[in-house]
Amino acid sequence: MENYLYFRKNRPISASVTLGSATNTCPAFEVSDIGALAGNDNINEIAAISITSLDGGGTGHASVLFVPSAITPTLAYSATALAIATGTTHWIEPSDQAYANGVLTIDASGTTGGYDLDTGDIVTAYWKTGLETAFMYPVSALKGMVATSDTVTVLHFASILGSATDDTVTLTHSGVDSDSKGGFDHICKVMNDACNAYPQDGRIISVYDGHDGRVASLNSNPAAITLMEYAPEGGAAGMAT
Amino acid sequence: MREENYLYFANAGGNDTDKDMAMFPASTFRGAVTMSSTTVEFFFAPQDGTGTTANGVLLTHADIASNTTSGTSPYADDKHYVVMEKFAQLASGNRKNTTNFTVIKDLNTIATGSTGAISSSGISEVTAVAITID
Repeated sequence: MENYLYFRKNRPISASVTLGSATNTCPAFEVSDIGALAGNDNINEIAAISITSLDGGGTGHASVLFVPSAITPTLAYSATALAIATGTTHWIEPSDQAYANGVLTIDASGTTGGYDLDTGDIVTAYWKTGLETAFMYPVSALKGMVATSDTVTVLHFASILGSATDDTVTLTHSGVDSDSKGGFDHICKVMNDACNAYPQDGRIISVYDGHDGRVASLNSNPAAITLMEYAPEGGAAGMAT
Repeated sequence: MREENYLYFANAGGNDTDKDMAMFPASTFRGAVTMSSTTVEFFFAPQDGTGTTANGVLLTHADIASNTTSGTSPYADDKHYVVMEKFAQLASGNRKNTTNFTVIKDLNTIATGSTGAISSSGISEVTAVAITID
């Protein structure tokens, strides 16, 4: 009988980039928004993409457009091209686009779901909970934690898949204060509370939940955690057996 | 008597083909990870004793409603969290002097006679079970 430690990366979350030139390859999203860019290439985790046009462009800029009433996992798309006016926002089908290492590349107009981006256009993507974004470990799997800098702490867990390499959870948090205490001290206390709470029961304990920017860390986030990275098997190899 | 809790899973088959069902001691649970917005996989120490390739049980649930940007609760509609939470409750439910046999999910509806699920159907949010044992 033991507790189970639950974590979720900063998902769901939205992030935007502004085009600096007329190209369909967007600037990379910010690490502080979506986490590490390397290996961040699963287009299936992007629920929706919107484009806000700086100065319009008419029907020449898009081939498939649609106007959803809400952003949900099941958007309804129209096959009819609509005129793009200055400042208007349109939505494109994520599965028609390419995504690698935090960089979106939008299909050109004339292809299914395509859109010609222009300087000053704003592209916003909405990530959902998906592959390896939420997870939980039994307390007995926790091997320990180490501060790798004043703002970064790494939690080590026994590998889920069973390799010799630990699974790691890397937390970015507040630095050291005037009393020479900081995020690591707080995280140690939080983990102690999480591991030893409810000794007669055994429950799921949410240690960190980066849901939609509303961080919900245990004990009201005393370490001021802003970002969490998850590396099962010490890498992003994927969990599927 | 060892106070172990045994966790039972069965897919929608008839318990008559390979990996239609599996049971794991709760102490062999290694962790659970979301695989998509509709699936979460629970991993256990392998039954073959190698210790190198985890056994997995992939559970399917409704899409995570908080994918909507207007979601108001981190948990209320997060089916993956509900499934994990209920698993934690069930896996920790062992008590002295009981059978400690716990159905996490039993989708077997093809059983003969009126037996159906082995004892209870388990976590209601789970709609499919896929068992991987190498």
